[in-house]
Amino acid sequence: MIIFNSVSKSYKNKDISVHDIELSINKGEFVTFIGPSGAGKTTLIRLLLAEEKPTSGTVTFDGVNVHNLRRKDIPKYRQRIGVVFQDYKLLEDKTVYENVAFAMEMIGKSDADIKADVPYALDLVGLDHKGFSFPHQLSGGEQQRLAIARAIINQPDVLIADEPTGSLDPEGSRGVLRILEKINELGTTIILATHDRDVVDELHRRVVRIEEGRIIRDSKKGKYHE
Amino acid sequence: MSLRLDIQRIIKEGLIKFWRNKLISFSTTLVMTIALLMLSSLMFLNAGLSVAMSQLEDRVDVNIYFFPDVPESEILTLQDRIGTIPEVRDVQYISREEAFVQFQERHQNDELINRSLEELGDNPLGASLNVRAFRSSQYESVVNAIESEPAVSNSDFVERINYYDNKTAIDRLNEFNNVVRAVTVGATIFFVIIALLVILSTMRIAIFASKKEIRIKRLVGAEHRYTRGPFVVMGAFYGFLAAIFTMVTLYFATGWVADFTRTFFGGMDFKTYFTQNIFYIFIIVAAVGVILGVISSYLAIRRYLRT
Repeated sequence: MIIFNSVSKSYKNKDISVHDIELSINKGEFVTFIGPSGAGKTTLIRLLLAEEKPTSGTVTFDGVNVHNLRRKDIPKYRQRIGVVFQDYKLLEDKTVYENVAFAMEMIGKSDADIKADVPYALDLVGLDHKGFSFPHQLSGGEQQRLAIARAIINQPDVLIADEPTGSLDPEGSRGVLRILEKINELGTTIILATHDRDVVDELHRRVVRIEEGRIIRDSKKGKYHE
Repeated sequence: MSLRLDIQRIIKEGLIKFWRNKLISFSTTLVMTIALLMLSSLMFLNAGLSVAMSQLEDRVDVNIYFFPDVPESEILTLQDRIGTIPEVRDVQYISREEAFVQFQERHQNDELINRSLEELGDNPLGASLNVRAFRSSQYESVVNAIESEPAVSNSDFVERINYYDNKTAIDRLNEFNNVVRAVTVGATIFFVIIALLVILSTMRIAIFASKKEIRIKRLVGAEHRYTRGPFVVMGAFYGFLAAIFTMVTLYFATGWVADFTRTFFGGMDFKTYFTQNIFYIFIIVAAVGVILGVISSYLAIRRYLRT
């Protein structure tokens, strides 16, 4: 489904880069990218989202080189990927309800569908009572869960979660993992980027370890340290 | 998705965005109001100058003086023919008697002339036709058309056409008219560009405040119409609201300058002009405001939509 073929990305005046990445992710897989901060996990995600262009190599999604997409086709492509960003990237002047509803509006869902699905998604992440709040009125954990609700509302083919447990307590982290596992059971491919050892060990799924921009380990059912 | 639902959502989001960003909305609308006031002032100035110029032009005319023995029927036939020249606004026949009365009235205090008339004992004046064109620049072609009439080219009928006496004054008036119009058009273009730049800069600042939001929308897969649309709606709303503020300001401002403008523009005062054309002015100001708002927001957001 997703193939990184000899992908390298380097930045002028920056140390963060990835080198010669060979990676294949199948439909329905749950893959964890691990590694220290600055290892290149987020760069891979940005390349997959066509937010960045690789210096060399190709990234394909269902056989299509995502960096050859025309500008007008990129939104449709991104709609197939739900993303929980490390810094949440919530729309500050929209309420909790509107942040999730917006994701449905932009793919043309009817008002009736939005009225039915948004409360369900907010209930799933425990924010059903916060519908009228604005993001700045939420705690870090609540913002994280709102980002998850927005990412899953359209049942994307792939869900990318970049450090989704970074600001959560252990119980909150477990809650987020349960949600991700549940979504994965429904057939969605999950890419989780984290450097939280407990999370990786608890999941016991495919682990791709990245250090200094290179894949140094790819285990089918791995743990943080092996 | 239905286009109606799409547009409905974009408009709704634009209005909500306007309302939730009150400070930015207020300041942007205020700047747009100032720009619209600048443009509408030009509209008033244009109207004032047009009135003043047409009043000057009204004072210009051409008289065809006939010999005293020319039959009235010939002159009246010529009057009808001149009346059919497209550039001619009106042709007035002044009979010998009327000319004599007017002459006497004009010179009633002139002893010498009164005594001369008494000695003559008869009306020495011929009839005349007073011709007025729509514009002062049309007199040359009007006179050419008149001169091609057989009754005029017949030297036994026409004593004199005073166009050639007034030609220098008419040419000067035409030149002045052309200069005034050129300056007005130049000033209008200049201030329209200034207004557009001011509005564009203001809109860029307003949209700069939302650049994070634009980026997020793009990352979560929003198509351009969903990202750009609400800002364009907001721009249109700024323009419409600015047009209303402009009309309110103009209502008071034209009242304050009414007396001054009445004196300056020869009878036309801005207050009367405003109240008589209020609907027309509002349509123009609102259309300009909305169009400038839409164009400037469209241009301002373009840079954030590039991949």
